Amino acid sequence: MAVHARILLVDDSKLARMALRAALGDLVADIDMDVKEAPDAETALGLLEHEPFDAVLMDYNMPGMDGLSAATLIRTRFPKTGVALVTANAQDAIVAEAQLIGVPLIPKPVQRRDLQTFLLAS
Amino acid sequence: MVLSEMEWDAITELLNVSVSRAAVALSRLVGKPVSMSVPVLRMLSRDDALAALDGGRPSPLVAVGEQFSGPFSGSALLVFPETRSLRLVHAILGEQIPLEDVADMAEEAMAEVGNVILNSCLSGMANMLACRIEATLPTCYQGTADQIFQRTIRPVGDARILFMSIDFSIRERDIGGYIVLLLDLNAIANLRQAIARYVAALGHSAAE
Repeated sequence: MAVHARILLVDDSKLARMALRAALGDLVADIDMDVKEAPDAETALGLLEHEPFDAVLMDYNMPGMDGLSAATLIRTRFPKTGVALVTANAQDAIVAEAQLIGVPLIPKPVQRRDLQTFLLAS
Repeated sequence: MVLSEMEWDAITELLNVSVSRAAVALSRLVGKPVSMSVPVLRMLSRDDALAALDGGRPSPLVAVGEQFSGPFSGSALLVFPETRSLRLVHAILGEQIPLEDVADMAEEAMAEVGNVILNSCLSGMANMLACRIEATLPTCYQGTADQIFQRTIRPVGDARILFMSIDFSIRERDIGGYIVLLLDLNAIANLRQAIARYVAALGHSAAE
């Protein structure tokens, strides 16, 4: 991953976005990070149209478009952007569908090592 | 009792994560995907919760109840309209079960589902808030909302109800239900403190 990382956090819960920010802060203190947030998938897709991101951390269960549908669009429209689903809803069917489009799942509550694995691969 | 926007957000997220885990467990139980809506959370009086459950027209409901205790104590109920509880039995056991056995199995299936969902909610909140919550074994109730509340949620002057509507479907069968958490004022105060500690820890961690 680039030393300067642009990361987009997408979750309808402010608390969840705070938790992700905290976990990122713990993880990569030596990496210059530009972290932005979006409260839903539609806003996130709008942001991605206007500026590039290295990685998107996307909640699954949100009002409006769900995270898996949004991740599918991101994989198609922005293939250089890494995207992971951040969810406690790791059902086999959802995991399988995410794997099919090359999107890893990061279980909630977020563990630093899972974030690290994803970011290093992005 | 007015909760701040951040407290609402925190409680909704804690329950959303917990119910998502319950969906995973349910999906393994039935061997099929379980789709789930974003839970809608409200804080209601006992009367308003009753009205929300029966929509002004008393109808047969099935509920699974547990009492819980810890830093915040109270009662938890998972409530379904009776017709949907039968869909649930079919979804879990498959269509081949004879109709005459469905009613017999309904209570057992409901207790199992209630156990999965309520324990997931309670243990999820306990884990994220770093506390311990003990719960009784689930008990199944049938009747109107008023009859179920009389047996599970007694009128307490200062008690408020965290009322969560949740829609999920199994095998394309829509099974909407409600999760009802009764907390007295003391319990709500303790829950707020636990959330404040959790939020403060996040801020502290992010600032490091």
